[in-house]
Amino acid sequence: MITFSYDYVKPKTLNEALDALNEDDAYPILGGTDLIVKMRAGRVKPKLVVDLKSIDELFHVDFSKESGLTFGAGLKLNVLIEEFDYVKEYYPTLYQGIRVVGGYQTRNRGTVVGNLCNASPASDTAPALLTYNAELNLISKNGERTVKITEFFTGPGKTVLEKGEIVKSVHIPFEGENIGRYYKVSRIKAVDLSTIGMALTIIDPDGTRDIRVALASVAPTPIRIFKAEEFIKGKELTMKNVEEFAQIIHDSVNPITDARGTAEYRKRMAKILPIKLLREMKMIKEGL
Amino acid sequence: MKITFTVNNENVEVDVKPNETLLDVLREKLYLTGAKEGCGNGECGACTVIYNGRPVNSCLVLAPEAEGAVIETVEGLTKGNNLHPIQEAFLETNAFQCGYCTPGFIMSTKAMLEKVPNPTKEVIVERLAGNLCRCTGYTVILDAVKLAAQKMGGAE
Ligand SMILES: Cc1cc2nc3c(=O)[nH]c(=O)nc-3n(C[C@H](O)[C@H](O)[C@H](O)COP(=O)(O)OP(=O)(O)OC[C@H]3O[C@@H](n4cnc5c(N)ncnc54)[C@H](O)[C@@H]3O)c2cc1C
Ligand code: FES
Ligand code: FES
Repeated sequence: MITFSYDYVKPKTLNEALDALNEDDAYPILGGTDLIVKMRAGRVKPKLVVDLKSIDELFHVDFSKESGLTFGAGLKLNVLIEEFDYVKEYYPTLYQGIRVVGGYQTRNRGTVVGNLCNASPASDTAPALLTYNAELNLISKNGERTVKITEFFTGPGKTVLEKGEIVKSVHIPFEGENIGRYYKVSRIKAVDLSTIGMALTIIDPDGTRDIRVALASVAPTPIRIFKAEEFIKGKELTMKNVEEFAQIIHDSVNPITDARGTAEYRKRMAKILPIKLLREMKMIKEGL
Repeated sequence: MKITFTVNNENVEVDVKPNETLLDVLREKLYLTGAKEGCGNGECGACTVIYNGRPVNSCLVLAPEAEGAVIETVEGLTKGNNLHPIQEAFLETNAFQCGYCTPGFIMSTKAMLEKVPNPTKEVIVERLAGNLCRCTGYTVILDAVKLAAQKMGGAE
């Protein structure tokens, strides 16, 4: 039971949904795994809840190597990784990020788009999406626009979304063969938000070797560390270079101390994790 | 508002308010009290029901969202006086003490075994990670799930 009352509508078309969302204190709902928790705690008090799950357009999924992956906002986390093999095959870092969101039940309701719109610094899907240069397609009564994920988050719980605007779909280009890891450090292995999360994706690992790195829970928003990527570009992956790469990541993050870990611990892990992940992927040259 | 959905193969129509959860409706309007409220926040899994074939936390489903859904609760498992093989397996391995978590574990197990009849330990742990038990220490629950898989025809 939620302690206050509100109205609920489930429109069948985007147009009707956008009309409803223009009303005062109207909130969209997908899986509700963030929204309902906040409503139960009284932290968010909608007057109107607009359920987007009857809008067919929000359930499209499409992949080709030429145009990449596009999926609608309605796609549940587990549906994406269990029913569309190409997510695992062509976006391995994202696959791993999705797989560690909450428990199995959470992933049967929750969505990638809900995870992004919630804009938690601890989002487990954002780091991988940052490494894959994802873009979000937004729509409102004023029209549509596309926003790069690097520009979507503006602070904890804050995004560039305007009143009445929703995310319609996510597009991820396919930039070529890639390998990757999403590694989540948390207090317990079962269901917990990250103390720190790191996505490391390597596009064309046997050729040009474009290394991308993004983190959760070390800054007010999930962040990609372009400076470290530029440093390592074209360099041999000797231990010395990798350590310097890791040092730049360490120096670029600005974590806080909270119930899940101290700022010092997070900074240390920001340096250790890239070395660990590159070693696991057998990318570091032997010897010193 | 009135909603209709299917619960344990029966169509039901219930009068609900938008600020009730599916768990509230199951327990307080349909008297299906197997699903329990532990945390009310999606963290413990005591309220797990199978919802359109997948296990979900019914404390995080708004009642009106359930319009048209096909729902299974632990009450739907027994046929006459016969327990479901998963229930037998939990009994035979003593996989509970207070029992508060058990309906949730059983529903997560059922949903898993329907898709993965012979799960590895890793799969079991991943699929049941959203169900907490404060009593047993989990090892007997793992035994119960393995025994249930055997009883239901999955190979050892
Ligand atoms: C027990 C538990 C464990 C969790 N563990 C994790 C974890 O480990 N890692 C993690 O990252 N998250 C975790 N979460 C948070 C949550 O499950 C995820 O963020 C999930 O992906 C949210 O998706 P949703 O569809 O349920 O979002 P919803 O709750 O439906 O929506 C989230 C927010 O976005 C808004 N919104 C919804 N749809 C749109 C749209 N199309 N356009 C614009 N705004 C929209 C809503 O109004 C709301 O403010 C956990 C949650 C729970 C309950
Ligand atoms: S009561 Fe629903 S998950 Fe705890
Ligand atoms: S048996 Fe008591 S919580 Fe699991």
